[in-house]
Amino acid sequence: MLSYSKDQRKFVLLMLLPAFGMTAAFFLWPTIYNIKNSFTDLSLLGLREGGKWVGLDNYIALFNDSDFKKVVFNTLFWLTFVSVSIRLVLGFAIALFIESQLVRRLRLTVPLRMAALLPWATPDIVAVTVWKQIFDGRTGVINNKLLEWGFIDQPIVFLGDPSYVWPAVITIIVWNGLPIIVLTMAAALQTVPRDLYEAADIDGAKSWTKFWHVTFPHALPALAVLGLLTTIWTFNNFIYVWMSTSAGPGTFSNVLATEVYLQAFVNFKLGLSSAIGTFMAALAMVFGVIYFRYVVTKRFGGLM
Amino acid sequence: MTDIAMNPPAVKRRKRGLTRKHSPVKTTAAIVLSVLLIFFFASPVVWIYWASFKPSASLIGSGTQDLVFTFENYKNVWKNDFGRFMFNSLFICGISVIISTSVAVCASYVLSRYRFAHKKWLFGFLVLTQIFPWIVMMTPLFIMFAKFDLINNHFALMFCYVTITLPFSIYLMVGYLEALPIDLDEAALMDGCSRFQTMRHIILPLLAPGIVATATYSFLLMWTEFLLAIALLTKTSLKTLPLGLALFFGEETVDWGAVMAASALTTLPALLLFLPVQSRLIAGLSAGSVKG
Amino acid sequence: METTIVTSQYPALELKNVEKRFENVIALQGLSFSVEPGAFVAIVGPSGCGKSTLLRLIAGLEATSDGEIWLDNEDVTEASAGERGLAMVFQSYALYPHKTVRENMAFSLKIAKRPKAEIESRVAEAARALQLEAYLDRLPKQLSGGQRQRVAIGRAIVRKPKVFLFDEPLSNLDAALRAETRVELAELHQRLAATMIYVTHDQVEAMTLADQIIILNAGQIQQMGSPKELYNEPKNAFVAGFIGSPKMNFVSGTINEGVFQSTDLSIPGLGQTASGAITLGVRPEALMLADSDKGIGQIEVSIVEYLGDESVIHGRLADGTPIILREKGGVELNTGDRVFIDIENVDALHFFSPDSGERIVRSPKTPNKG
Repeated sequence: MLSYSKDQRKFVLLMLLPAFGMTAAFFLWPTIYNIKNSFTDLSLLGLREGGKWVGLDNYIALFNDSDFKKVVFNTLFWLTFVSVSIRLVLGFAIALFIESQLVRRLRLTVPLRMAALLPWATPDIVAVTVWKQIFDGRTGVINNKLLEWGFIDQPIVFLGDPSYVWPAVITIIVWNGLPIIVLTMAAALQTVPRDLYEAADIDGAKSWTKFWHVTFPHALPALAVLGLLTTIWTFNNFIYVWMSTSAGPGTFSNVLATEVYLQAFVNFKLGLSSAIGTFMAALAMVFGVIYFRYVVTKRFGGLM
Repeated sequence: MTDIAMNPPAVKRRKRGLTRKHSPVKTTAAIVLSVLLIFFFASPVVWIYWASFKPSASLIGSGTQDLVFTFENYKNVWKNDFGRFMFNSLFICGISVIISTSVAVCASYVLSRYRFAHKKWLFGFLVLTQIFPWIVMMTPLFIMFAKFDLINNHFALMFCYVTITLPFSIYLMVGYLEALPIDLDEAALMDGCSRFQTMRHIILPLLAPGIVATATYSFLLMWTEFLLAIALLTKTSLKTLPLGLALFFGEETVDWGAVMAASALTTLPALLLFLPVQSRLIAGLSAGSVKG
Repeated sequence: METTIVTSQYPALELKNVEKRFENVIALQGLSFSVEPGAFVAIVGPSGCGKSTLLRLIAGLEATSDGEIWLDNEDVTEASAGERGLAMVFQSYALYPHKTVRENMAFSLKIAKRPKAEIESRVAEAARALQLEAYLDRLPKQLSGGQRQRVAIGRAIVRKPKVFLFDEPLSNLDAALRAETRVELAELHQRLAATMIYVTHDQVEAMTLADQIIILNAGQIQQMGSPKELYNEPKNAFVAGFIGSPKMNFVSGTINEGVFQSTDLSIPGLGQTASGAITLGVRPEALMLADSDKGIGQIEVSIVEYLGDESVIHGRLADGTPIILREKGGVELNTGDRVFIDIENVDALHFFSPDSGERIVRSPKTPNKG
């Protein structure tokens, strides 16, 4: 750490001010405003008049609303839990596969890594667009092929049919979000010290034992960090659901992010939307606290 | 450094791999699985570029095998203001990246180099902003900007883009700065440099690769940002690329050829910028400092 | 020789009651000392004693919590590092990796906006003195450890500083190069006749290089003096134990009517010293093997290190107190042997208070310190 005398304190402040001033203006004011609005019945059409103070009414309404419970369930279970679990499990498995001796010997490691880079570099909005085309009921490749090969008689509207909509949305998310796990875990696997494997070989360990006692413990920290980050990003994500299904069919695939949007810009209920937003931010905060305690303080602890 | 650390084991492993025999069944299974994986990852991207050169009509029904290529789709999107959108995106993202990166360099330098009270809270605040759902801020921001008549104002969007990219830019940069020994700063101070001169002559040249990686990543994030743009830009002529892309989805009929051409144009810069920095980003990611 | 160069009647460096606190931890406490122009002062102490902090306070890289720092009759307590006109050689060398050797050495002069011709001639001069002329256009990473070290010194020389500061400059070199560079540093000091402050944890470096040594422990100066003074008249048990290798032997016992008595040792003929509990200190080189059952006591040999010209014998008294002694040439001893030891000269014994560790002056002629 560099030391500084009193007059150089100005330098420190000057360097910090733009960054923290801007972020504070951008984040703090909307957050406070949002919390304040959540106690009113503010309407998008009545911005000028402002809202009436309604106390906890918005929150009470939410917790008594069974539709809202479904939204919360969709967000936590389908959008977050299922899609994150699939990505972590599949991602780690594919990373192990890519880094395995067999694939290495077949010289397929590099082509696999290159291929995995493509979805990662694809913007989420483009990912949704192209998959929407692939899933399309009339013009999509999948339906065309299934019809052509005679598996189905009627095209399936993947993104508009309650029995297919979540698997289809999750497929999009997995395609777009799997590579980051695969590539990061592959990089983490390369850092496992070779002598540990050699020591295990000398001890006559089976490959399954080696995995549990050498590979897995070594990869776990990176997997945990990725899991945490992916969870936060997915939980907050608006694009995937909104662009692929607009929360439909009906409100079947509605999640918290889209509900905030729908209540504000479709139903014009800003007060209610703010309450949902506050609830959502509070949930995100839980992940944030974990992230701060176990990742940030560990990573930057020396600086604090 | 990772290269040095990784190469010798890789060599060792290959040697051992040669001595071990794999059954033909396993080998075949591995090849099949690899091909399937490559197909799963790559085909949608390949499809974007392939379809963008196909006549729109051939994308409907099962006529996709026709070997007819056309620039019609690109001409089409160009006619529909896509050049305008691209320019808007370049302008907004370009300026925002410069501001965001400069501001992040300043803050992260001080965060990594100086001891001061409440630093922990500053880091905590950054985490908070990083995990905060942006969708929640849409309404307040919209109202705030509407009050100051800043809707349809590119500078308002730039302000947003600078702030949303700041937290992880600072994280990333603090990481790169930690790799530069503080002795260098002290040597420069002993050599008579002011604090600013130390940054200019010693830190910035050494931090350059980190700055490039951070700036690229910020740029990509802004380049594909949709939510804030759709809230703040309503006038067509002011819209950015992702909004332009969304415009090609009609209510009922979708011109898939045009959509694919627009997607291709949106993705290409992202791909070209992303590939050179990806290894540096993967390294940063396992430390939990990047937003993906 | 030094006296002819001295131009100022003021100390080159003076610390007045300097204190440094990190939050609530006191790192350095009430430090006062002055350094004459042209002196080579070594600051030694175990790790964590605050020696590096002290150097950084002098350099201006760390702010004092209390007290004053004066350079050549000028109060620089509030001055920044650059303003103090000092040069520092870092343990890591801290060469700018993106600058060539030439640029590294010229950097401070460039920042000071010196004329180009002057910069060039000063860099050339330093490069010649340090045999770096062939490497001026190389980057630090293309140099060996020893060369980097010389560039770091060159960067300091070029500035013609009032005082040179060295922070463990030899600790990254291997043993052979370290000994060689030590000699070079001594020569450099002779040639430049500059004031040098040198921090090290290695007491041998301090003893061989310095005119004056400051021994620091737990943030306080234990003793400041010439190497000879520290060796012969250590102020307390800490200094006595720190200076000299192998370390001084300590035996606790009592003294009464001029006779030191411990469980295993008995030394008569010490004159009329204070009576009561006392710690005896005796250097390994002041001990010798006794011919027969005379001597002051008996040890059981645990190991013998044969060094060619001498042997170092490690043993224990019956109560377990470790004893080391040095003998010329080789000795025919095996582990487990019991041998008698003796002292060469009563004057080579040191006595310390068992409570405070302070030195107790043995000579009856010297009045007790107040």
